[in-house]
Amino acid sequence: MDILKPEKSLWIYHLNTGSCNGCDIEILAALTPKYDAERFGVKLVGSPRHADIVVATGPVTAVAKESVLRVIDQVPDPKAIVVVGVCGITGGVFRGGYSVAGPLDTLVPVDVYVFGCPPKPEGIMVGILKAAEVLELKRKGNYHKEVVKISEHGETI
Amino acid sequence: MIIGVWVLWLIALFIWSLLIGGIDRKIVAHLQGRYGPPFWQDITDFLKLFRKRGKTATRSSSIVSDVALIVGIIAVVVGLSILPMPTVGGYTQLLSTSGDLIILAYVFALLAIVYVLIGFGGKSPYTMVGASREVSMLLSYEIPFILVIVAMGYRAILLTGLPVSTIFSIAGFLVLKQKMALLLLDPIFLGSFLVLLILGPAIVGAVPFDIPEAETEIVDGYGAEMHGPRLGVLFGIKHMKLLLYAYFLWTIFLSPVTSNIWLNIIMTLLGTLLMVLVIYTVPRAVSGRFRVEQGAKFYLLGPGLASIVLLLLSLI
Repeated sequence: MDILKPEKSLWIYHLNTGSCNGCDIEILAALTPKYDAERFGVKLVGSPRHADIVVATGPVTAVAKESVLRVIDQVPDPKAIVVVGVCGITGGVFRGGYSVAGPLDTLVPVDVYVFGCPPKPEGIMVGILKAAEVLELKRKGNYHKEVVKISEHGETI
Repeated sequence: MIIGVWVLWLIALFIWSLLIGGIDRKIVAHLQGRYGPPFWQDITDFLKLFRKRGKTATRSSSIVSDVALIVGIIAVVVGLSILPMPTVGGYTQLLSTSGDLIILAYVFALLAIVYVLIGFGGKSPYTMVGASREVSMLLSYEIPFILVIVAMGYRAILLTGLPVSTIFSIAGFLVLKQKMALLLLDPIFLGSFLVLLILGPAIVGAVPFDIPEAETEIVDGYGAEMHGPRLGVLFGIKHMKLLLYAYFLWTIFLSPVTSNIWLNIIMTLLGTLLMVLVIYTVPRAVSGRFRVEQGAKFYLLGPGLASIVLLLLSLI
């Protein structure tokens, strides 16, 4: 029964680690009436302590690094981390910059990567639903680290 | 026997409160041109929170928040034991005293104080700001709320001829409902009902008066440090507070008295849903959030003055 499945309740926390705001706009677009992520049980929450999934954008700037680690540490288990946009995945155009401490997967384990600059809302929604599958595996205790890559249009790479 | 029936009624109301939360989200989604989540979404959310394991912030006081949550559960149970339950032949209270309307007013104030305690127990700047905002809102809506209840009490004893000692008795209202076809035909009760409807969003923490939560400004305010099962209990208390207020408005003012128990139950459930739509769903779908001073000014000048006028008219 869907009513009892925790993976049908996805509370997401949107974490900007120093993004240009392009990916952030697309995340918010995924919640608007055209895409309506709430039909999958997705709810944007204000506090990381309420979240199941962290949706992170940006290359992780040196200034933001400590805060990013603290915020991700505050998310209760089981949790999944989705990185949205190439800046969060590789550093993008900011890679190697003096003020960049990322990308995020060098600091914390990342579960789902959504490519694109910025990715489309379809890609972000597929990424969140893949993260729900990861959460379910983590709950059951049979999660084996496996990189999930999603293209900007939502196809699995 | 009656306690067993009442416990079943309590459980049914709790499940109904979560379903109402989901129906509210579905309706708001449709008002905004979306499909929205399934109507049982809040039950899924509630159950999920009990399967989360989080770390409490070192600065937070778990004892304060745990005590606050227990007080919240007790307040909800006391509130529902006072409000009349549909039974064969009409409505019956589990606990009835001559001042149960005042106890009910205390229950709503206590639930607000629970949020304040949770906020101060969190000891984060966000939870502290949320708690202080809850106190400001409490001070602004509590004055008109109490004045309206006093006006209703005076009017009820005037119309029923019951002794003055039963001025704040819900049983008195049940007697009055047997005499009058519709309580709202009386101008004092109509005015009181309208003031209580306007106070509703602030009491239940709905937009535009969800100032103490304000997740886009102060990351969910008083509840920012809650997580896992504790957040689940707070989630349940919030739903029950909304249901309790809707139930209070429906049973006192609108519920028709019939002798059929099933008709009474169905009408109570649908009536609470109707009240939730009016005080919670529609305001949050069509408006943005007020600032603290706007909210306080609105309640003290609007319902505040209206409640003083109602009190004076009820004494005449």
